[in-house]
Amino acid sequence: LATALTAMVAVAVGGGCRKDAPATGSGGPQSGAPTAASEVTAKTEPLRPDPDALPPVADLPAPRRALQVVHGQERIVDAEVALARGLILVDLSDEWAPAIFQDAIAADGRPLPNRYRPVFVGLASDRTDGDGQPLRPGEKNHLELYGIPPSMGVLRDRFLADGKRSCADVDPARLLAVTSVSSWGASTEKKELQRAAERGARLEAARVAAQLASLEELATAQPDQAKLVAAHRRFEAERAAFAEVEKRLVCEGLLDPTKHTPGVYGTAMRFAMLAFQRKNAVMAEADITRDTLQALARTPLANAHLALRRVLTERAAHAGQILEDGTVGNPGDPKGPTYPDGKGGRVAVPDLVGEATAALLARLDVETPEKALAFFERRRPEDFPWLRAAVRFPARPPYYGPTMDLSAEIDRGDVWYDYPFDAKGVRLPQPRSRYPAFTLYVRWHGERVPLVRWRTTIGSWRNEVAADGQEYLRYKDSDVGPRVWRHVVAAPVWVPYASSPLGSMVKEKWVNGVPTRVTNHDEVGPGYLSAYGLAAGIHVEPRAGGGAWFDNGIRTHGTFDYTSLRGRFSHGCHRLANNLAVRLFSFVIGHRKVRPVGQVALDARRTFYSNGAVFDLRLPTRGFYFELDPPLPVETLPGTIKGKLARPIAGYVKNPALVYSTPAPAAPAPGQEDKAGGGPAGEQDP
Amino acid sequence: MRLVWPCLSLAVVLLAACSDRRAGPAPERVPAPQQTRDASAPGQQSSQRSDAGADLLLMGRVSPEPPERDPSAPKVRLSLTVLPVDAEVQWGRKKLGVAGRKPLQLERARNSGPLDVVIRANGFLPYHTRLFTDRDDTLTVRLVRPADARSLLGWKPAARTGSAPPR
Repeated sequence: LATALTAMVAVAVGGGCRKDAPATGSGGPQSGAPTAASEVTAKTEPLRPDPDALPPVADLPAPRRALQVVHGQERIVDAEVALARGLILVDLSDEWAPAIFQDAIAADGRPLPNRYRPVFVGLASDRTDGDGQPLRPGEKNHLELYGIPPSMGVLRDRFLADGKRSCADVDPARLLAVTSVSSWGASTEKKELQRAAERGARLEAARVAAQLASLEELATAQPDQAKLVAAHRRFEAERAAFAEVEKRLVCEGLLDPTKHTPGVYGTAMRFAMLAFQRKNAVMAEADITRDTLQALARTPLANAHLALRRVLTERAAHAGQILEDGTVGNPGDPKGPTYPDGKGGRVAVPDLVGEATAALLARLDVETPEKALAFFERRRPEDFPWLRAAVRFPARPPYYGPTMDLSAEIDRGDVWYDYPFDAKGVRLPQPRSRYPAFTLYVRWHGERVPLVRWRTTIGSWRNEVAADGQEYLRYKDSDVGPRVWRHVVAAPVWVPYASSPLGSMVKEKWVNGVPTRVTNHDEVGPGYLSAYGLAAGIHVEPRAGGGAWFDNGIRTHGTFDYTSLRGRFSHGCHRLANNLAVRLFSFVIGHRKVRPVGQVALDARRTFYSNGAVFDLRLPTRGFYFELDPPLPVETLPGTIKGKLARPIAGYVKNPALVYSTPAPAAPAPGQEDKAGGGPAGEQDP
Repeated sequence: MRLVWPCLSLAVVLLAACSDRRAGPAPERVPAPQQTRDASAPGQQSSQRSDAGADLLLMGRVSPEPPERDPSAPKVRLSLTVLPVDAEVQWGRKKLGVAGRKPLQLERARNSGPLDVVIRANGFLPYHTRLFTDRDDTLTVRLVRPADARSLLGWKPAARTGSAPPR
């Protein structure tokens, strides 16, 4: 009651202070609150009213503190007052983890620790590696592409470091003059560069012989040379861009020039490029793509600001427990999806995440790189254990509530069942114009309203080693029809089969100061590199009679293999980018009736031999489970079947690129796996 | 190369019938809901299973871990038993002690990261395993003699090194 009264009084005071009382300073240096000296100079133009500005309060304990920037001046406000005023508290602390990784309480009051939470926090803060062990000094994780955005403390360090780098000697025009820069392996690179040099020499000789001023004139005068001239000019532009790439990576502090041969895309530069791409969330795996060049052409500070926007997007989505991100259609498009407002009108499905992010950026006054740099210059390390912002988010549509009538749908898009090779082993084109898509709906006034639509994957032809030890192709189908998500899993563990290949099961890592061979837990998880990613929903089918559920092994899950979402295939599961899977399942458990089960016991162990030693793969847990009650419907649509075959080919099919010593063995006995992977018996090798 | 497989244990061969020996990228599907057993060393403690869990899902049952002694305790207790002989337990550059029938008992800060240890004893293969610090952990390890290694999953004969091939 006392708290409520305090809040009411504060609200009343706050209401009376809507004219934005000047900051009085709060907290003092020990509390991590901003000081008067650190405040931003107020603008001179007339101030617009800020109805959500709360009165500054001094000496609040950390759990009650929230930050607002009002007309350029920071103030600490009372978090409880902010909540009472309908503002959202956005956790900006370095201890933040998405809702799906939060600890929970069992029905009987027992605490249910979520074991991946400390690992997530350690990774985001560049404190620990994926095993939860300390990073070596100066080591960075750069895991945004894997679903773990950097903490605000990490971003502060990045802003302070990158804010000092102008990289003014890098010419962005040269970087942007090409769409990509060709790169090759070490031996091929030498040959390709030599080939291009010879072409240039030949063209130059032709130009001199023709007594022309330029290669362009040569191309006009001798049309048969035009293609070569164009290729050579493109090559020259790429090499000019490559030189800028080198300069930029050195400027960024990622490439040690003493370990690099100019003009050569060697190992050191590839690692530097990969680090740059991961730092800036560019999906390119060291290829010098257009996206990469655009990121390189921006200043380091501009890139840091984009990273801040992405980080705040995740924080805003989770704080607001919102999902709509504009992916179902442009809210401004009259043909875009709408929902009934209950009064006879229709309203466009909003981009709530985008709007909330914009509100958060404005509330913190970090809408430009320079303002964001100033914000981080005002921050001190002791801010990050408590930092949160008090901000008003856009109103949530009326279909929101504690339990929303959600359902998921996976459209398989264009599907080819035909064998993908001809008799000579040449791959046949199987073009797709529609790719698999995941959509989450809410039922509202009798309609299904789409909230998000994201690219996903379906199964197709995969390599598989049969019982005879030979590798075959096998069609891995994605189940079609209605299923449910009964369980959602945070940090799920993938259990390898008893005879899974062991090639990657051992890795070398530093263990307490010594390089040591250890069992590789990356692929099994729990972790961002797990085959199931950071979060998963398990597709199950209710059995007749009730009480039992059939699990055919299909999941909607996060993935570290983000490039697979650009049109590659899975083994039947529906992959999402890790951060989207985390957003999705955090949203689901926040808007459905859920029973936290906690860490599900697995207690599995596999012992194997590798290079003169015995190794244990220990899997104590299957992940942190949430049980949805009722389960959430999820339906996979068949998509559009292309080609001649209407059903997948069952069993093993020979790969034309391989030589086989024996006939293909019979398909494995029907089982759960086989049902998911094949069609009816009788359709065998073409 | 393919001669490796016939050398695997009978248990592994039997398991192969219900398993998925795939190559290439990580498979995504959980095992079919069948009872499986640990494809591990001879005499392996059978208290832990491989590929469990899907069967539980089939039945609609999901069992949480047993409650912890004290989930708020800042330190966790680790206990490592080694059979059939006493062995030295090494964690990186640090010798943690000797484990045998009398377990090696350790205390570590909770969530301080797993301990990847190597267990060594004369006459046995080095044994690499992991102790977890996100809760109390108890583990029993049975060491394997080199002569018994061929029954292990993944066993290959040692490569001939150091001399010219016989003519």
